[in-house]
Amino acid sequence: MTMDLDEMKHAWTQLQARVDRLEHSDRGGRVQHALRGTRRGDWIAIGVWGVIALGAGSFWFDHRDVLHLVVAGLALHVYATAAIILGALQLRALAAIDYGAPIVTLSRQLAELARLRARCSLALGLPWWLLWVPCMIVGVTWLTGFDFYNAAWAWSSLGVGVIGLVGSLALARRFAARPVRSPALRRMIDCLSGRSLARAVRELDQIDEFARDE
Amino acid sequence: MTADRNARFEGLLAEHAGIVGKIAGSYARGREDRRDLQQEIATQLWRAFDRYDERLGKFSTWMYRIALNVAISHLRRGRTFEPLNDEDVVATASDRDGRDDRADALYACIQAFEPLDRALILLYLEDRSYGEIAEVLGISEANVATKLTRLRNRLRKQLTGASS
Repeated sequence: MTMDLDEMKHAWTQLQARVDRLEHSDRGGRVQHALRGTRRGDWIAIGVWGVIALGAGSFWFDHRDVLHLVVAGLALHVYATAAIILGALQLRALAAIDYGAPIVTLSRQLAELARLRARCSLALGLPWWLLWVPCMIVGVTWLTGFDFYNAAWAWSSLGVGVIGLVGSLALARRFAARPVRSPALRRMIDCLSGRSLARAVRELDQIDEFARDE
Repeated sequence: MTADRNARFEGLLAEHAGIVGKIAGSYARGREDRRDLQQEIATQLWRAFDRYDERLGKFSTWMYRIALNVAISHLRRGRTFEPLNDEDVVATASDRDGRDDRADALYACIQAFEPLDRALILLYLEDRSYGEIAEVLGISEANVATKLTRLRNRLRKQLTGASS
């Protein structure tokens, strides 16, 4: 149904008398504090990656005479450090969100946060196709003291990782436009196919266009 | 002091409860979602109330700003930045919750717009001045006037298309 703006205003005035009253009971009890939950999750992630960065740092330093252990430890160290930095950036963006700001300002903050999250998800998610190899090397050596490294295994695993990486990107693009029932799978496909990022960028463009004086 | 503050907040909220109800009706989908959004708005208003300074502006202006920001943020988490499709509108309209057809149709009509345009329409329907709309949205008064003219023309065009 379509209404003219004047008709809408007339209907709105009539609605005034009947509008639902705010329910005072259990204020906030059933509210999903999503942003607060996100913030807590980011803090936990930063803490976990902090421990991993310290562990990986001491691992490659302790094994600095064995090249493949240094490379594996360094890879994990660099990844963990990147995860901490990106997590901190997201926390900073979350902290800047102010519901008292003008609508355009807050909408822009939320869209920028969504863009940052989409970029971070890609940057931190995709390397796992390769990162599991150094992770295995560091993990097994650290837990058992046994260096099980084998060059043939490592290179073939990295090769499989590259195929998996390219394949997952191709699959995500293929399924991007198709309906998917699982919300988690939908998020993963949107992230890998670049849809989340494109959507965030589109939202920012829409907000800029809205705010632009014409 | 806290009791005074609570009582003052409760009073102001009760006085302007209609704003929260109408914003929730315009941004939420279905009864449960609407209740969640109303509660979320009330919670954020309560949290921000310490920062409200009546010398800097009317309570209603401050309330519109926070309530609309919460509603848009809520909508984003539901991942619906694109306008609703026909099925969504039917679903919204069929969830009556004691409201009449006219109110359902009005909300469905408003929900067909994108979140920022929806905020603009809501403020216009609430008879806010262009200056106040500009202040809440964070755009210029001239821009408010231009956008309202465009929205009016767009609605007229849709109406003409629907009737023909």
